[in-house]
Amino acid sequence: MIVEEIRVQAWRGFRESHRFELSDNLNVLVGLNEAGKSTLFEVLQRTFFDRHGGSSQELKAMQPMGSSLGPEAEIIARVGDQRYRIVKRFLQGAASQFYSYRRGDWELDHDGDAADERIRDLLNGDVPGRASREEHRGLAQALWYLQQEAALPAQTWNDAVRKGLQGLVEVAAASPKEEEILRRVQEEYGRHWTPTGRVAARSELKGLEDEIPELEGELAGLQERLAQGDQHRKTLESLDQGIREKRREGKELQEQADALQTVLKEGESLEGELRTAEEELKNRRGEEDSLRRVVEELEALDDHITRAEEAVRKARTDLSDRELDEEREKGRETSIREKLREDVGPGLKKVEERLEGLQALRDLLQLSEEKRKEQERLENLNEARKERAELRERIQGLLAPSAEDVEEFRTVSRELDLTRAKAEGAAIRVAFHLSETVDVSSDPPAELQESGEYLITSPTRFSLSDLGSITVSGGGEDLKELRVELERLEDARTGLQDRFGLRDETEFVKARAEKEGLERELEKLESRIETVLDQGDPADELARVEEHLKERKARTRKLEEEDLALDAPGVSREIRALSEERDDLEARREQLSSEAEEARESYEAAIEARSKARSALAQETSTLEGYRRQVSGLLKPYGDRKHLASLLEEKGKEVSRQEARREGLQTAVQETVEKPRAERDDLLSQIKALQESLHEDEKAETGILSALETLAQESLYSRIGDLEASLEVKKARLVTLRRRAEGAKVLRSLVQELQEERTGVLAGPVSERLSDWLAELTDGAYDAVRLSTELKPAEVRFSRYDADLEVGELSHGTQEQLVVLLRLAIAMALSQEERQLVVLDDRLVNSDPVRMRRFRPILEEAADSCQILLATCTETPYAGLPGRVIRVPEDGRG
Amino acid sequence: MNERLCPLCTPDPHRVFYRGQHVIALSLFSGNRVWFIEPIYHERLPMKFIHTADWQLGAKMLQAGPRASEARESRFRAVERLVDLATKEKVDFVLVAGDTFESPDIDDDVVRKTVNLLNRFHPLPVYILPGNHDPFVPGGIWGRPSWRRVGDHVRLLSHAEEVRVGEVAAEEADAGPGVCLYPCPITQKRSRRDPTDWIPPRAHGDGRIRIGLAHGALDILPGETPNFPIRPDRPEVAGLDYLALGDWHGLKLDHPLAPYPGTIEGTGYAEKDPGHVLVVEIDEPGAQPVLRPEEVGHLRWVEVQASIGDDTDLSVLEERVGPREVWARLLLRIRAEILPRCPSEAFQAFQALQDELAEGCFHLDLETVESRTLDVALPEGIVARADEILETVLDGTIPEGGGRAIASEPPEVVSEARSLLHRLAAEVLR
Repeated sequence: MIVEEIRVQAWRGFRESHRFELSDNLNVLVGLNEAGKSTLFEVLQRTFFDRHGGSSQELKAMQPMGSSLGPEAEIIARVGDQRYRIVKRFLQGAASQFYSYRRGDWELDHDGDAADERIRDLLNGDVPGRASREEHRGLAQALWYLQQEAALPAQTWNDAVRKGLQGLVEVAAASPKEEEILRRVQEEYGRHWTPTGRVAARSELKGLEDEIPELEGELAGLQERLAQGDQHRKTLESLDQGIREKRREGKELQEQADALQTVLKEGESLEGELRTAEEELKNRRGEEDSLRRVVEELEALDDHITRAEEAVRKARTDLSDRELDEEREKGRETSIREKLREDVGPGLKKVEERLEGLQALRDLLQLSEEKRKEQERLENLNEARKERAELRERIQGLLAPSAEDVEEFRTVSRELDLTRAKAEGAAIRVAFHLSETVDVSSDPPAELQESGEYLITSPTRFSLSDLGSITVSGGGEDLKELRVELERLEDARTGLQDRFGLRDETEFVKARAEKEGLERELEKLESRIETVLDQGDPADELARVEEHLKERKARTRKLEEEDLALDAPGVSREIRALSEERDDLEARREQLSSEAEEARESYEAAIEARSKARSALAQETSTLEGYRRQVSGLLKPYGDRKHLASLLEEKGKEVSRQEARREGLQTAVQETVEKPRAERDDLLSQIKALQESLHEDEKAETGILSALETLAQESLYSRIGDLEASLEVKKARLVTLRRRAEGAKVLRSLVQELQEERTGVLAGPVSERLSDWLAELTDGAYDAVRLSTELKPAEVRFSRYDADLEVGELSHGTQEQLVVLLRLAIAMALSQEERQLVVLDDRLVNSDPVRMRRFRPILEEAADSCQILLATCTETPYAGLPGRVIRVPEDGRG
Repeated sequence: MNERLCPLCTPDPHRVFYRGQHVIALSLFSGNRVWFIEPIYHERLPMKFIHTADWQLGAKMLQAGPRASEARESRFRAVERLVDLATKEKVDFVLVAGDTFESPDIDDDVVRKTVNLLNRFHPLPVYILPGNHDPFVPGGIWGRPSWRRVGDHVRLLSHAEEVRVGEVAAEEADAGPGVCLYPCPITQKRSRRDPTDWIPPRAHGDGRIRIGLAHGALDILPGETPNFPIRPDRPEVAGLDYLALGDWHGLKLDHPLAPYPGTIEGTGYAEKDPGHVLVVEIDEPGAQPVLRPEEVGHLRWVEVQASIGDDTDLSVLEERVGPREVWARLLLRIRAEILPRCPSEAFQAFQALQDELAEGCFHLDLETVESRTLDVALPEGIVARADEILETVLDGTIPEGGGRAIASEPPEVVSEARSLLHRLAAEVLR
C-alpha cells in the first residue's frame, strides 16, 4: 500500500487545512524543527491504526494548543490498482469513513468502527487498547521507522511482518493441499488455544477446566455435608452405647433400691416402736426434770432465804446506826450555829459599825481637802476665763491686718514701687538749670528728685515764677498705662493704710505680730482652760464633793467623841486596826459557817442514809417474805420435801428403764432401717443423676437424629451421585481433550518451526541485500550481516580482520544506518507483490556526509521498488535524487 | 388343588399356616333328616417363598454416566416386578437377605419409595435383614421416620433371635410343621466375625423347617480378608434346611442349601448373572430345597475388549454387543484398539457402529486406541517433514534439526499429534 495524498486539519500546528501530495517513489519532507514533519507521520499512524472514538491522552495531545477542535485527516492510499480514501476525525465530532474509488467516484464502504477495522486491514494492523503503538502497525512495524521508537522491536516482528515475510515462502513454495492441511492444523489449534499459547477462552477445554473445579467444589461441599451424617452416626453409636449402659446401670440400681425398699418396709414398725419409746422417755424425763427443778428451786430458795434473813438483820443494824448519826449531826449543827449567832455575829457588827464610821470620817477629811482643791481649781479657772475674755476683747478691739492683708500690702507696695520705677523710667525728667533761683511750681505737682529733676509722668505745667510756664506733655501710651496702674496701686495701698491706720510694711508687720502674739496668748489660755476642764469641771466636782461630804458626815454620827477627834493618821490607824479585827471576826464567822454547813450536810446525809437504811430493811424483809412464799407454793403439790424427794427418786428409776428400752430399739432400727435407708437414698440419688445424664444423652440423641433426618431430606446422596457421574464424564472428556489439545499444540509448534526454518532460509534475499548495502555504505569495512531467526541484525563481519562483531559493538550512527538498511531491505522484499510505503523520520541525522553520499544510490535503488517518505531538516544530502521534495508546511497550504 | 377356602387356612397377614390337608365332615342328625356338609379338601403344598437380596436401592450408579438417575430408577422397577412375581407365585413369604438399601446416607425419598413398594406386598409377610450397606445401627436407615410408615406385614429382623413364622402351634398336627427363621442381622460395616455363629443347632424333636438368614461371604478364598465370613458348612452344622444368603451380586447356586440370588438389578460390569430372585420350595424339614431363579432385572451390563483390524473383527464386535432389540437396556463398555492394518472402510464402519451404539444403548462407555497408519501419500514439504519427525520421536529417537523440542513431550501427546496430522491430511487428500 502506498499513500498518494495527505490532508490534515486542526492537528497540532496544522490548524488550517494542509494538503500534501506524494510521489510513488522518493518523497523528502523538508522543514525546520517544529515545522510539522513528525506530525505528518503521526497523522499516518493515528489515521491508519487508532480507533476514531478513542480519548487517550495521546489523542488529546494532537489538538491544537488551546483549542477543543477535533484533529482531522484524510489520506488517499493505493493498493495495487485500487484507490482508497480514508477520512478520520478524533475527539470532537469523532468519525471514521472508508471510501473506495469506483467508476470515477468515491463510494463510501464503511464508517465508524467498521471503517477503522477496514483501514487497519490495509496494513494488517491489530486493534490497539488505547493509543496505537508500534506493535499494532502490522506491516508498518517494519516499514515505518519513526522518531522516539526503538531501532528494532524488543521481541520479534509482529505477526503481520512475519506473515508478510512468510508470504514470500508461500508464494515461492506452498502447494494448495499443504496450505490447506496447514490451515486446518492452525484451525484445530485455534479450537483449543489462543495465538499466544493460552487455553482459548471459548474452547471446550477451557469450559471444562473452569467447570470441573466448580463441580468439584460443589461436590466437596456436598460430601462434607454428607460426612456430617457419618460423624453424627459415630456420635450416635457412642451415645447409644452410653445410653444402653446407663439404662442397664439404672435398672440395676433401681433393683437394688427396690430391694432395700422392701427391707425398709419391714423395718417401719420398728421405727414406730422406737418413736413411741422415745416419746415415752421424753415424757418421763420431762417429769423427772420437772421434779428436779422443783427440788433445785427449793434448794435455791433456801439459800436465798438464809441470805435474805441475814440481809434483814444487817439492814436493821444499819438503820439503827443511821438514826444515831442523824441525831449527832443535828446536834453539832445546832451548836455551831448558836456559837455563830451569839458570839461572832454581834462582835463583828460592832466592829463594822465603827469601821464604817471611821472610814466615813476619813473620807470626810479627804473630801474636805478635795473640796479645797476644787475650790482652788475653780478659782483658777474663773481667773483664766476672765483673762481670756479680756484678751478677746483686746484682740477684737485691735484693728490689725491679717496675714493676707499684710501680704496684700506688701504685694501692692512692691508693685507700686515697680510700676513707679517703670513710670519713672518712662517718665520725663525735667530739670531746670536757671541762672537764678526761681520758684518752680508744677501742676500737677511734680516730684523733685534728689537729682534736681522733676519726674513728669503726666502732662504737667511748670510755672517758673515770672519766667513763664513750661508745659511738658508726652510719655506715650505706656506711660499713660503705667500712670493708671500707678494710680490704682496707690489707691489700693492707701486703702489698706487707711483701713488699718498703718503707714508702711513695718507697721503692718508689727501690727500683725502684735495681734498674733495676743492670739497665741489667747490660745494658751484656751488650752489651760481646756486642761482644767478635762480634769473635770471644778464646779461639778465641787458639788460632788459636797454631796459626798454630806453623806459621810451622816455616817459618822455613831462615832464616839474620841473617834471624832482623831486626825487623819489617827483615823487611818484606827481603821487599820479595826479592819484587822473585822477580818479576824469574819474569818471566824466563815469558819463557823463552814462548820455549820458541814454539819448540816452531814445531818442531811445522815437523814438520807437513815432513809435508805429503812428502805433497805423494808426491801430485804419483803424479799425474805417472797422467798418463803415461793417455797410454800412449790411444796404445795407435794406436801412436803420428803415426799417430793421420794417422788423424784421414783421418777429417776422410770427414766432409766425407759432409756434402756430405747437403746435397744435404736440399735435395732439402726441395723434394719437407717442403714438400708441411707443406702437406698444414696442409690436413689445415683439413679437420679443417672436419669439426668440419660436425659441429656437422649436429648443429644434426638438432636442428632433430627440432624440426620434433615440431612436425609437434602437428597445429598443422589446429588453426589449425579455430580460424581457428571464429573467422571467431564474428567474423562477433559483428559481426552487435553491430549488432543496438546497434540494440536505440538503439531502446530512443529509446523511453525518448520515454516520458520523455511522462512529463515528464504529470508536470505533480505540478508544478502543488507550485506551488500552495508558493504557499500561502509566502503567494505563491514561486508556481511548475519540476521537472527527473528530477522534482526545479530552480527556484522569486520572484513579487515575477518571477524564477527556484534551489532551492539558498532557505533550508534552505524547501528542506526544498519537498521534503516534492514527496513529498506524488508520493504523491498515485501514490495515484490505490492508496492509498500517506507517511512523514515530523520533517522540519518547521525550520518556523516560521506555516509550520506553513499546512502544516495541505496535510496535510489529502494525507491524503485518502494514508496519512501523521508523527513529531514535539510534537503542538501538528497539533492538530485529522483523524487519529490515537499516543504513543510508551505507546500501544504492553499 | 381345591381352591375353596379352608376356614382354618384363611390367609391372615399375621399368621402363616403350613398348608396341609383338612377333612371336615360334619353330620347332623335332626329328626329324620341327615345333613351333610361337603368336606373341604386341601392338598398339602410345599412351603414356598422368595429369596432375594442386595436391592442396593439408592445406589449412585456412576458407571451409567449421564443416565445414572435412570439406572437408579430401574432398581425400583425391579422391585415392582418382584411384587408381581410374588403375587403370581402365591408365595408364603419373602426373605430379603440384606443390603436393601445402598447406604445409610441415601435420600429419604428412596426410603419412602421403598416403603411404598413394600406395602404393596401386603398381606404377604416380608422379612428384611439388615446388611453391611444398611446395618442396624443408631442413626441408620431403620430408625428413620419414613421407614416407620412400613406396614405390619414387613418385619425387620434386627436381633439375632429365633423368629417363628406364623403362630400355629405344633399341637395342631394337621397344620404341618412350623417355620422358624434364624436371622443374623449386621450391626456394622465390616467385621471378621461369622454372623451365623449364634444359630443354635436343631434340638432333638424339633420338626420345624429351620431357615437361616445371613449376609456375608460364604466362599473364603485363601489370602483374602473376608467381610462377615460365613462358615461354608453352617447349614449342616446348625441343622438348617436353608440358609438364605446375601452380599454376592451375581446369581450363585453352587451350594444347594446356601445359594446367593444376586442383586435384583446389576450394579457393574464385573457381576455375573445379576438381576434375579430365587423362588424356593421346601417340602418338609430335611428335604432338598427346590430353587428356581426368576429374572426381575431389566438392564444388561456388557463389557467388550475388541481389536479392529478388518470387517470380521467388526462383526465379532457386533455379535458380542448383541441384537439391537436389547440395546435400549444395555450398558455397554467397549475397549477397542484400531489396529495399524485396519483399512479405512472398516474404520469408518467402526465409527458408524460407534455412533449407532451411542444413539441406541442405554449407556456407552467407549475408549478407542488408534494405531492406524495413513493410507494416502502426504504432500512434500512441511506436512511430510512433520510426519517424519513425529514418527521418529514415536520410535524413541531424537530428530536431527527441527522438532528436537517435541522429543520431550509425552508419547501419547506425540501420538495424538500424529493422528491429528493424518486425520487432517486424510480429510484434505481424499
